[in-house]
Amino acid sequence: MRSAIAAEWILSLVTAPDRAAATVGDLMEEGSAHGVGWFWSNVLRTASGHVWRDVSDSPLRVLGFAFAGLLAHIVLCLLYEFLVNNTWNRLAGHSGWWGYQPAIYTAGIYALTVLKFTIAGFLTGWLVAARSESLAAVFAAVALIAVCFAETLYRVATHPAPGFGLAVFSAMEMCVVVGAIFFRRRTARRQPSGT
Amino acid sequence: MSSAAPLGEFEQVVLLAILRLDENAYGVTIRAEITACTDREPAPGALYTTLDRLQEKGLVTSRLGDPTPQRGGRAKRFFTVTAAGVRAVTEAQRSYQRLMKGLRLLGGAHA
Repeated sequence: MRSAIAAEWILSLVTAPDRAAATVGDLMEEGSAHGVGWFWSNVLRTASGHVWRDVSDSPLRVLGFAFAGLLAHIVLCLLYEFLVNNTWNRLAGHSGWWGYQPAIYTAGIYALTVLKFTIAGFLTGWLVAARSESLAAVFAAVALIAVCFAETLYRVATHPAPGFGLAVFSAMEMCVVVGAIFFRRRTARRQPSGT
Repeated sequence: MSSAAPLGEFEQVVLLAILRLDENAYGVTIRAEITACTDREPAPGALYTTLDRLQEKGLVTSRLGDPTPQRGGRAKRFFTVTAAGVRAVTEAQRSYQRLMKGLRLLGGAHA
């Protein structure tokens, strides 16, 4: 029963809640003859099928929202840099208006960097999910951000402490997906019947 | 000739299965009917995405039945083919028939 609730939760991210419930009901009905492995593989295949359908039905639309997501992510990061990091610089007694001052490259700056990518990632996922109403566009945005930040990733990987950078980057990508999931869950609770 | 987007092969199979099942067409029975008639077992994921696509095209409608204990209290989603769906699948089948006409397959001529 608990696995059915989890399956319904996963499917409600990609389709209307009542459709997700009916699908899980069907899979439970058939799954009693096939077992847990069959049930879960079909839950995941059904969810990925819904995501892939968005891509195959309108690839340009998905790509457009992915680019919009990348743009939004860059703007949000720059906005954060401008507002928060410069305030931090000022409070630390430095006059520079942009970027970090090497002299204050402290744990506080690292924390602000993590916070920047967390907030920007979450808001990017939320915005893409809200505008596109499609998780496919969110996954495409995640892939696009990874490609565009590949050079940064390379620099991070060759940095003396690559673990921190890679962890921050991965967390940021996760935050994009989490933002989209939060949006989907919020709208699913308000959504009328999709039947 | 219909001006609507042509139906894919699997969409036709699903529409015909729903028509055959009449009032009892939901995910499990549709899959069983397709397996029985075609000897091919469609993946549930492919079936549900196709059903959603057909509904968005206006070729089928769905309604929720009563929740049942064997499904963990979850309702069945019953499907019905619309008039547009009947027209679309009929036109698609006529196209196949026109292509078959005059061919000698499996030793016999198709009139």
